[in-house]
Amino acid sequence: MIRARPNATAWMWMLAVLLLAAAPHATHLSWPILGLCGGVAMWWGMGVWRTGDPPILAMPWRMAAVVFVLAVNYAVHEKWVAGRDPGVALLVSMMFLKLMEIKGPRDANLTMTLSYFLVTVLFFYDQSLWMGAYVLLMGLLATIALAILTRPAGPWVHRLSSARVVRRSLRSAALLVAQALPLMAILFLFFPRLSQPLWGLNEDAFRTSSSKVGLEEVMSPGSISRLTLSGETAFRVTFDGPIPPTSDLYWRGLVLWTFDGRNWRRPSLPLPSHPPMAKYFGPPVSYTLTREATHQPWLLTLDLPSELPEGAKPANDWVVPWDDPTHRLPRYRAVSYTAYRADAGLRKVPAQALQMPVRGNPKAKALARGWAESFPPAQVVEQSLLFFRREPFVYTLSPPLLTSADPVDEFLFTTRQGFCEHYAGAFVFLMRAAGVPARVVLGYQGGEVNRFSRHLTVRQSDAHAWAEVWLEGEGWRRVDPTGAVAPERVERGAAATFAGGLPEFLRGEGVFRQEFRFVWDMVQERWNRWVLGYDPERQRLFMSHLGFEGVDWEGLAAALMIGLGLFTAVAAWLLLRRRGAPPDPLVELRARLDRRLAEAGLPRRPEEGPLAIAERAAGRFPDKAGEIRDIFQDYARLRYGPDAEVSGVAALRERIRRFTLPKPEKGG
Amino acid sequence: MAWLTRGIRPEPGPAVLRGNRLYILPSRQGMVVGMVLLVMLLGSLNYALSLGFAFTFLVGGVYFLSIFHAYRNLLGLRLTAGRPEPAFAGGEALFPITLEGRGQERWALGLKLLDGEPLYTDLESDRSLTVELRRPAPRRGRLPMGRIALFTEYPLGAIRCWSYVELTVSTLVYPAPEAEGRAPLPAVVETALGVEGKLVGDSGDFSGLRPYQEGDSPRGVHWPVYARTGVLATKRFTCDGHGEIWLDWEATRGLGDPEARLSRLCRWILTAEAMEIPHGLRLPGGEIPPGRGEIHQRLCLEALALFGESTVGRTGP
Repeated sequence: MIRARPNATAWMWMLAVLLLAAAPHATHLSWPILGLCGGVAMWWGMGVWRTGDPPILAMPWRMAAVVFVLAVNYAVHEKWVAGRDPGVALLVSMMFLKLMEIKGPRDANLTMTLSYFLVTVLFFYDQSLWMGAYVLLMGLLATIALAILTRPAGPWVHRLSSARVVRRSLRSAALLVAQALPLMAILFLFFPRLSQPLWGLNEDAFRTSSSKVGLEEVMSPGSISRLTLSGETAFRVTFDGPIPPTSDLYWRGLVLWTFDGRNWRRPSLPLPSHPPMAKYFGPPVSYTLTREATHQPWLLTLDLPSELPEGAKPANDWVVPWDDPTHRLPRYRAVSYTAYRADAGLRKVPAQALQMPVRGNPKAKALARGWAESFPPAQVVEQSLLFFRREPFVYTLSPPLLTSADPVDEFLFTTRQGFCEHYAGAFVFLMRAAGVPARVVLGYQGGEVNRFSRHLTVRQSDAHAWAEVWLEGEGWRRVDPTGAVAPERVERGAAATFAGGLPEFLRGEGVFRQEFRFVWDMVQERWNRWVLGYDPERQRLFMSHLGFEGVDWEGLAAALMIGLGLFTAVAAWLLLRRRGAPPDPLVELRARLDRRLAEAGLPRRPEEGPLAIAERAAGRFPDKAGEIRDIFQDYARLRYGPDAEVSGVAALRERIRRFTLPKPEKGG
Repeated sequence: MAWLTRGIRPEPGPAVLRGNRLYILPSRQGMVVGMVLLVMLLGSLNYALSLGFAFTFLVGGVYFLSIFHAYRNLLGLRLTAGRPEPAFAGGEALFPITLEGRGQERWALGLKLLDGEPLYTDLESDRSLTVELRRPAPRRGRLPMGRIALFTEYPLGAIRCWSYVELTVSTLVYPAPEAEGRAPLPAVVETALGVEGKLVGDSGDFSGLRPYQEGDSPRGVHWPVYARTGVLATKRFTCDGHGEIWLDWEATRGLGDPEARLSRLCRWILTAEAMEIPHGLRLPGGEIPPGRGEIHQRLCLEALALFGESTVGRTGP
């Protein structure tokens, strides 16, 4: 008899799973917490390695550790537990602290079960394609660890070696996960989704860390060129009809009105509250836009939008705020017209459109005033663009820093090297100095068409700044000074312009790299659309693909039940049918004979051979004695004789079938 | 819970675990897992976490499928009863059971008699294994093996699959022998001449010495050895059929309680056999002529075990 406890291998598997479940959290855990968890893991691992049994830490130390975690939480997040980051920090710490009180397989099972939580909260931070693979991996590893650990302590009569147990656990776990995948697919597709949360959301549930890049609400020299270093996708667009030419693809995000001499910001005073007016020309463009990062409180639209998603209202400058944490709207539909006339009939342009600091940049002001004296406003615009074209301006990713107190003057007359933010900012300054109302628009321009799926991928490196001027009778007209200096930027997009300066990811004219980029982008787009974006609307779409229109949650529940039922039936049939060599038919026949005799009052004694019981039965039922002896002799011959013919078995089966015995009388 | 098991009928075996005798329910750990999965599901619903759904369904699916794996771990297992050895009252009875995998590898099988300790074993697919199941044997008589519970929580510990089998095997429990030395062997000797004399072992061939036991007659003591060494030793004789004793029910009259009397008789049988003295057994229901050897001992002990149940001297179990 062996008494067995989980050995060091089993414990190490558990520790490995726990570490893998916690590792992705390292990016958003504070250093003291990381130190505590790492320290505990190392101490525990070494204890198991040395003695084969997990070490246990006394209660006072464990309490001290909990207090430590709460204190760190308060110091770092200003909250004890409430909120996503402190809650997660506490959860991760508690998992590791639980290690210190594991005594046997049952505690280990509990730890493994709770590690499922650790993986789930990770999805508050990241749900990209890699996380999907991580889901599969963790599902597999946790199952392996459970299979290894779930062995009773004993006593054991016959216990297979630890190596065999591990091999078997690997195989079982792989089988279980593979068999569970179809079930997961059925449940994922048919389980009803909610359009409203059950109990509400914390406002910081999805707050991403500030390390994610994106447009900011302040534009300063260099802020946009910084973004070009990032190849990250900002958003993807699928168009219902043909894709407009690149020079029409201006995606409006923010409008900046206020200039402080160096930086452009959102309007410091509120804009007029009445909605903007527009006239649209030409064909409408319908599209669906899927955002990657959803932390920005405004929606991106193609200039100029005419229809917006429900609940979205444009501000006076066509910025569309969206600040509803309960409805993150990662994907939305809109309709825009690339030919338009905005606010043409405006009687009074907001004063902010002419705001400029009193002091500074005298040369630029003088230049602009010179134009204003000689030309009407529309010509002033032309003069300015001519100025950019004629003078030796350079469009570059890394212009020299502007250090003087008059940065506009420095840019326009001295350095003459800049990126889109320099040109847009300087242009708007010149316009305002000349008395033409103007404002800076911040957003994205262009994008990359994916040849496989025909969707448009717009990256952070496509971020752009341009200008709008207001002209009498025309309204707000887009003017992109970058187009005067580097027209290919507008016509062909960022990737074509900066083949040398862009990050490795975006370069690569090699066909293989380009194909790979397209395929990878398409995979990610599909992932976002069908997996991450699987909301009630998409579920309805899926059901209608199957042929069921207008399905509500009851229909979904019914489909779910049917799917589960089918799956269970198939699984039962596949897993539980008889496999391997069929049982010896003679044994079944003998069992049948035994049953027959037992019913007649002659239960078999285990040690009796076939001939002995034949004699006993013959004695009990003398009139059947001959038949009994024959049958048992046949059986003995077939079972123990040198050659057993199959036909003999069939004949015997027939005889047994016809053989009956009288039942014992009642009361006898 | 008796109503649940009413349908289990005793059978001589071999018994095969078929689907209709297997029960499945989540274990306690399975309930905990269920709760955790429910919380994960609710969280995913509230925060619309697609991957949360995916992970929850994957883990839930794995546990669901472990039901089939657990079921298959027991399905088709064959149990055959072996011959159990008799036991003494107050000790443990051992019932050997042979398990056959019948083409299916089985892991962490648990077996247990109703009031015994659980045992665990693995079983390769092409092997048969004999396991000794134990249960306490408090009283003398016939002790049926009773119900065997087979169970497993393979593979993940969340699902418990079990079954009951009752094989018609029983073992004999002999009365617990009285403590040694409480009562010496009865000094009643019948020789071939039918003369009652005293003493044990003063006839037959001297075959050696054994340590003196309280109650041995002084006539059996080997005095020369004592004179030489100071050690009391009793003479031993091989028997040629003359030095027999009768172990009589009446001789235990002084005790009163029948069980105590049987205990004393049991001790006498054991002692007589150890001393290689032919002994006969006389009980109110009958008698067993004197003899020696393992079979004779079994016969006598069986008579004691079944005292009050049936006539003495019946052959066979």
